[in-house]
Amino acid sequence: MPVVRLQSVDGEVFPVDVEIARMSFAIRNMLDDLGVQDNDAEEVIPLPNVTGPILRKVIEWCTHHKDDPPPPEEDDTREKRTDDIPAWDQEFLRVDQAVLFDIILAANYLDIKGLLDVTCKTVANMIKGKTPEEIRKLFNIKNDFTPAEEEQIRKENEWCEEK
Amino acid sequence: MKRGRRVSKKNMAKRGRNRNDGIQEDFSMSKGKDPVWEDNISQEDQVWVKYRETIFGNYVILTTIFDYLSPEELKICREVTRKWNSVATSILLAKATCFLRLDFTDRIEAYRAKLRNVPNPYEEIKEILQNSQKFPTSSWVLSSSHSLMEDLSSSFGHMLKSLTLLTIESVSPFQNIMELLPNLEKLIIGKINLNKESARRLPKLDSDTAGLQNLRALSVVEMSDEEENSEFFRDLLRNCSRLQTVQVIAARLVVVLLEEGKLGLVKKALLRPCQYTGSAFATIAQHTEPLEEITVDCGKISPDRSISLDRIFDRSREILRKLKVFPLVFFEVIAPHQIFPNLEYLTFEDSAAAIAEAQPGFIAQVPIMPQFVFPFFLMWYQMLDNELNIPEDIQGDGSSLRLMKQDVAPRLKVIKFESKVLLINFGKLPSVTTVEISCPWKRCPSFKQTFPNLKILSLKNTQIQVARFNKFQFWKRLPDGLELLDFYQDTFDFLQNVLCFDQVFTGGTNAKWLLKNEDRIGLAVSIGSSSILCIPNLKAVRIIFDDKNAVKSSSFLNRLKLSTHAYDLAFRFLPKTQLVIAYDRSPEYGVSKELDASFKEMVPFARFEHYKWAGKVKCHASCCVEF
Repeated sequence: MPVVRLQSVDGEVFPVDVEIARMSFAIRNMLDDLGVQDNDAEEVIPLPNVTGPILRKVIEWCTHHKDDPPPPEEDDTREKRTDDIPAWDQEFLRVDQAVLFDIILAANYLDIKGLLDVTCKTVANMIKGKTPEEIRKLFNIKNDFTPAEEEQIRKENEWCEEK
Repeated sequence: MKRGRRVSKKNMAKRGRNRNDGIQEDFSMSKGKDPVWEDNISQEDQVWVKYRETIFGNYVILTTIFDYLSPEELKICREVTRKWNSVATSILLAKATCFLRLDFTDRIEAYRAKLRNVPNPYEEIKEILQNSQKFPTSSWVLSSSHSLMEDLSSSFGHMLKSLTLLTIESVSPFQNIMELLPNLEKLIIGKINLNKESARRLPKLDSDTAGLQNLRALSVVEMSDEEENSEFFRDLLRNCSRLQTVQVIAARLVVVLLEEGKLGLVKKALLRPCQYTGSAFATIAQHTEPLEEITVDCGKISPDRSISLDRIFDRSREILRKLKVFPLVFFEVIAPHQIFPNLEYLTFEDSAAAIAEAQPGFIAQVPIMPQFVFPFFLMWYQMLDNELNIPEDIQGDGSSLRLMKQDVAPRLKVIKFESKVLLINFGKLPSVTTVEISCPWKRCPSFKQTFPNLKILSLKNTQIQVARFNKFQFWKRLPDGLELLDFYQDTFDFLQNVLCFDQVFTGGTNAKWLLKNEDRIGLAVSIGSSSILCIPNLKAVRIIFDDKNAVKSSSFLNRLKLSTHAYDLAFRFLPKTQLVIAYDRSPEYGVSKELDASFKEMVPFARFEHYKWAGKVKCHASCCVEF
């Protein structure tokens, strides 16, 4: 299997099967742009926004999911569920919030849709069932509303219902 | 090429930027530090500041997360922070329907019940409306049924007084809506589907109708023959004494305005050819008041509808003569002789080609007129040559065609080709200085003859068939002062023959090609993610960082650092070429002496210049090549 070498920001180099690396659209496009051949084993792709430990996690996820069927076409009308995270992914994402967030950032940067979706689903699950204050506490976010603005939004919410 | 090549980091870095909607400054992770997830209380705040910006400040990520939430949960998210509110609201609007839009439809029983249970809903609604920034009045859309409009008039009357902009998607509100809106300033009438009977039943609108008193802008978006011919719309136009702007789709309504002496109000007319259009257009044409922008759309035309095209346009030349801009959607109007003496800008839009492809039979009905000399028209004829009886004088590839005389459109400066055109001989167009082609380019005209004074040639995504260049005349050496824009990979073979340029701004040529053709490379310049243009015999390259925001941002250093990898790659082939990097070194852009020194260290082979920020935000990095 042809291999490319991915280099994290801290200098760690990971040899990865090309097919697995190509699950990242960012890497895929770059390989295509540069016309890198499959047997170009000396290729080193620097990833200046991803640290070694996170890159290892990302590669682990991609390796596990390399044979997944392509995701279905975007369908806005389809209800998006969050209770369908596979057991392996659940276990994989049983990490500190900071690690989870770093994986999200890496998935976004590398453009790996499946990984971004499953990590965002996990965050969505963390949000569900909480009050605004609980959410702020969970993610350490500051409330930047004025009391009047908060009141306004609450009022608007009362007049908003599902289709 | 085997020189220990490394893939440019620039490619990757740019992707990161693109996907982060302006928060790239904080995107890069803590380089060289231990991973931040290790529990370290003292770093905690710092870590969360980072995530606040990168995760919860990133529109893409936040949207992906919120997509998995129900409307109820999104409502909670709206209350978390302003940023969350803004993102959650936009998703909520797609998933839920907000009161201010839906209460006028009787489909949602729950809302009506809710309203009944609120002691004084109107005050509350009014207050929300007045205070709301999320649901401005402009979002009001009435698609109500008749029964609800009665409800509306009895219950909401006083609230509607504050409404200034309304979009109507059903005509039944007219039954009473116009009486309810004394302060209405703008009215958009959408597709309302009147049939003959319902058109007849429309009420008569008098000049004292409340809703017409303050109406300043009217837009009629779509219209049927029946509607165009109904008295209702005529009354509407006649009785709006304060009307200042009209966008209208029907020629007959333009005539009404003309008769009322209000033709000047028409800012935009999209004329739908129908059985009335011909005579209406002719009437308009007899008047001298100029319409500056007019589009004739034939999208709805069908082959079986009998329309006399020459009737429509025969007497319209006076109008066309006054036009300065003509978006050429309706293909039959294509440049008869001397019809555009004032034309400065001509666009060939895609829709015309699409129509021709969709309805070839229609074209067969068009009488062949020798003045239709613009090339796409000929292309259609050629496409359909089995069905048409093409006169001898326009047969062949058009190269013998000389109908496009020099005195046609003598002021034409810009030609844009956006549809699948087959370029054929234009004759000589000395006034044209700019040609932009952004469509598959199957055949090349004689640029040298046709555009002797061309200054800018832009080829965007053209998939040029290079072999064609050999068949048709092109410059062996580009004229001095010609700018080339947006070249792509396929263009290179052509460029090989070009020995010098004054300036090249490139956005395209593919790096893949460069890497495979090392021996042919004279000089490479790179900007953008994968754009490398090769031009022999260049003496210097100047790369200007002229984006004020980019220079100010903390990621600027990183960008330059990453870019230099690409420059390094390019300049390996350019030992004799001077690289000049220019940026504004003023302190207010955050480029300190230390930073300045570190740039020089990074690109030792470059000469640095001071670039005075001119106050305009252009692209992130533009490239100017000199020789």
